Amino acid sequence: MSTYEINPDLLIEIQKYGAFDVSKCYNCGTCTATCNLTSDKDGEAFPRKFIRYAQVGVEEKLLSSKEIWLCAYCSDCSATCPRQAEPGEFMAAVRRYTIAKNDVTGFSSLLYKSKLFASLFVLALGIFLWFFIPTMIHHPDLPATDPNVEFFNFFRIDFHFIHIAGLILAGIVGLFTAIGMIRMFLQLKKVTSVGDVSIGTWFKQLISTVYSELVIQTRFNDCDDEVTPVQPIGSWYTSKWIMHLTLFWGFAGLFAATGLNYMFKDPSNLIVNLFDVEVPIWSPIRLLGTLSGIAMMYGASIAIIKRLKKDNKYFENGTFTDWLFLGMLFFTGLTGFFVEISVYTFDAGSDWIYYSLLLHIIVAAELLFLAPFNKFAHAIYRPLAIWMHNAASAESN
Amino acid sequence: MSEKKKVDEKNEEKVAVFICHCGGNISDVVDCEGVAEWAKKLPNVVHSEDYAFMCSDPGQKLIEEALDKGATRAIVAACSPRLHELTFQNVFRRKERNPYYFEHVNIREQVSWSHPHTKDEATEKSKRLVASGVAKVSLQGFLEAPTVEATKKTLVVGGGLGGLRAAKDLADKNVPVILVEKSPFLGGRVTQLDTLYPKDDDAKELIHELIEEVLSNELIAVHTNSEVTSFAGSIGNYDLTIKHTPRGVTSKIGEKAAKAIDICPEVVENEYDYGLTKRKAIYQKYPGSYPSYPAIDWVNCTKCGKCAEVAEGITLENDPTEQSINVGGIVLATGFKPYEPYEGEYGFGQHPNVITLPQLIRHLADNPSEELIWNGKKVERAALIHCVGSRHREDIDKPLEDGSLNYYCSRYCCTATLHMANELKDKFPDMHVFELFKEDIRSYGWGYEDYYTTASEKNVRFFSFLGEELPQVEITEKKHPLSITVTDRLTFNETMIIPTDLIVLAVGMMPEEIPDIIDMMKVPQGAERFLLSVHPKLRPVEADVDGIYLAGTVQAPMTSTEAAIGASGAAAKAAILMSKDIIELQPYVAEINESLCKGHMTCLPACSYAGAIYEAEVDGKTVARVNPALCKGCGTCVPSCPEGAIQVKGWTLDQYKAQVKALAQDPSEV
Repeated sequence: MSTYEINPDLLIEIQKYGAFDVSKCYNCGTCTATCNLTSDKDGEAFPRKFIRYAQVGVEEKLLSSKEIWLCAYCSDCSATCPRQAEPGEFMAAVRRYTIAKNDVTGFSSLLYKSKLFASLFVLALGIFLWFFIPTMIHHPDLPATDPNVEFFNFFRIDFHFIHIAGLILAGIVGLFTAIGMIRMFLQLKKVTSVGDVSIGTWFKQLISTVYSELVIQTRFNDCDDEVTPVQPIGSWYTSKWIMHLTLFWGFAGLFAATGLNYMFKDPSNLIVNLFDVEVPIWSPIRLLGTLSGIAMMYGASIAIIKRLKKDNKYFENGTFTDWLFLGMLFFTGLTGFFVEISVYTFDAGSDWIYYSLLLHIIVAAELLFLAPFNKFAHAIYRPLAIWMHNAASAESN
Repeated sequence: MSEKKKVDEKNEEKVAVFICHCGGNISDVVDCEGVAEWAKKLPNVVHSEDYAFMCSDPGQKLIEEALDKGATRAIVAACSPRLHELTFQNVFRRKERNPYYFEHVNIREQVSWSHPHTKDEATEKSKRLVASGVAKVSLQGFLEAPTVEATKKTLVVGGGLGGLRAAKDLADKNVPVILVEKSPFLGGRVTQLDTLYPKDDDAKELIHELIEEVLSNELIAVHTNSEVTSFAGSIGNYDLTIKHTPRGVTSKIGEKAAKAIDICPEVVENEYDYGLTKRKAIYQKYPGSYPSYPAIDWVNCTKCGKCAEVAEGITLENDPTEQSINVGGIVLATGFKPYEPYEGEYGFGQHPNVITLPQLIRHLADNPSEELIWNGKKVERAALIHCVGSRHREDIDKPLEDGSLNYYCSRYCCTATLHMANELKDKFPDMHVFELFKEDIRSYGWGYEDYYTTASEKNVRFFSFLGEELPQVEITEKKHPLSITVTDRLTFNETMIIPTDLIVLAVGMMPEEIPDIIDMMKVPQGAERFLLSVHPKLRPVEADVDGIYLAGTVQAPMTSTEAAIGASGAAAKAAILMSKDIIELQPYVAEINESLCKGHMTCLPACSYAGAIYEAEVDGKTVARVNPALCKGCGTCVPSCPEGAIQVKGWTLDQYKAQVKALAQDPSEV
């Protein structure tokens, strides 16, 4: 047993990230009893345990917790809570809090805590890109009817710079993600005994974690308790598992298609090639992009519909940043299809193609830029936490 | 009466025996039929039968029939006499027979319920008990209940919630009441509270309403500054002396009261807010108190006369006057006092920011403000600790000065503490409020649990400690001057350090000290110094001295609601007594054979009831005599007599011998 000094302000801080009802909790443990992950051999008792740590303000217990990342927010705990304290939403809030805490810039915390800041930022960045990108992609082959293009022309930036800008953006995003990962690793190390883990175990567990958490994501199925359903389970094709799987694989596929497209085409001719109707729709890379786009749109649509219908407890508490992330994913897919449809419908050099591409780049750039600072970050943090946890327990066995 | 008495005196030893099945409660274990059949063989038995429910109407009919057929005495072997002895005695009364020729034998609690698995032995034990009952009732002499005439007037001791409530209820039943209050002001401890749970009523408004009702009632004579100084007599007829100490001030003082108080040079601790402020030797309990003019605190007054110079109506004479009164019953409503923490208990007395809950209640009520300032600094964090001076553990908690421990739960404090936590969060939303409770929170009453749920919703943080692991308080130089270390059961037994600005101790209830009354009236105290009732369920508001009733916190820690309920109960019991012209007492009293008594008077110190045994002269010879109205029939005098001159009626030594013989005899040899 350890000694901790309480911090009564912590709960109030975490409540800014969404856990608005958790002060109603009287630590009865119904959430622990109903949680399908609680019976884990390591005896994780959550969410109750972490609600208590938040109530008394033991921050390190929260930041170093792997358990909050095991939780996939099935929301059975929220549905059964006798005090309507929303423990599932609390776990989500702690994840948001952790993402914000792992971000050294404080930008993430601003995004989460202030709807006004988040919307203004997204809007401002969009407007900036709307005017800035045309200055770069000004090209003799492209239409220059937009007066703004002329206005920005004094920069005289070479349009190839868009790729450099893209790489810089990726570098910034990668840097912040790496810093966050290191900070999280150090926090988790305090409670996870990974000191003696061999390289082999690390590697083996990386493979198995990536397989289970990213490739197949069956953890979501654990949440649909078939034996004693706390909440009604819908059709398999609208299940949370399929929803998340399509969303994840759709995004990954699109990301891959974009990258491959960039690698296998002559960079200097990229835009021309991209706009080239000559590329048949069944060419492997384009096919990958199209199918991935469909998958991502499917997952995002289900997520949006369920949230609008407030299908179960999980979908009741969508926060603003949650919607923002989902909305960006959806619009990235949607504008992608605009581009594709325009390319096959209109002649090369059409305004339709030009503006749909501009929109697509703006939304995708915002999505990528915000990744380390919002819900997107869970794609890294969750597997990292589970990987460390698995490596430590594999070694101790 | 005299004719019937004659019949009774010549009562022959013809005993009817009834064995009750208690609907299977007894007959499932005991062979009732067999016992009844066997009992026919016992000496003096003229009739014996068994029946399913003796307490039912047909069951009682059986006794009546047996009496009609010539039986003169009866026993019923059934449940506990506590339950139905009176029922069967009343059968005798209805048939105009002496009810004391009935004997109740317990074969349910003492046999079938305690030996359910050994049926043969249980049946044998029943037989022995029946034989013993027959033997006892066969030797029963003539008993008659002594009677006294009742004075239709009640004394109420204590002018707080309990006393006022009881006085008002008695007066409503047309019983004249004398109410004595020791202090110069009415209203008691309730006036020191602010709002009362569960409805947040204004405590003073409520008690003032009750005081007005009492003062305006012509049947109630209220005496403040008064005490009971002597006590004699018995139920229905108590003689007491009331000592009045002059108040020193009359209502003539009018608006000059403020001047008189102002000029008084004697400054003493103000007990009204538990020493938070000071008051003068001429003082008013609080603005608007009853009576509305000041009184002089004779302990601290030096009679300097300055107050009398600036105001009229002040007489610095405190020679008490005495008044003799005669009452039929007494209601004790002497109330409680809060537990006083010892120096060093959670830092109490060592740091000014460790205070008690009653102190904080007074401070908040008297100092409305936007922020709570204590000791010159804003209170950002307050920690409330439960069970201070209650639920003591041996070898853990420090005993009181007399070496005893308060093992009991004080009942009011959990809810009062939650109530305070809510009040703090409502008045000062930014304040962090912590509650440290001992093992559990007992907010048990109607609406009380809401205080817990709302406090928790307002982000009051709870911590739970074991009675064996009390929180430790340290005084620090840090931002928050106090630091509590607690092994918190809610945080999986982790040790939590709670830096705080204020520590509030929820102190328990102790009985107000009334040694004179206990000494005079011989009312029994429990181990925890509260007064005992005869039985916690069957006779909860009656003291073990007949005609004395317990109203409110004199008998246990209570909330004000419960104290009012207890007071109304005590008043109802006293009113029942007052409704009788003649009071029938129990006949089982000591009897002294004056021809054997040699006047050693060894019985007198053995007797625990004041006045029950007294010395008398008969033909120049000293003898001991019994006042049957005061004797409880406990029998402690019986063995104290070297001459064997004392017997308890209805429990004579001959009866005991016969019973023991019957019990020892093998039933098969009867």
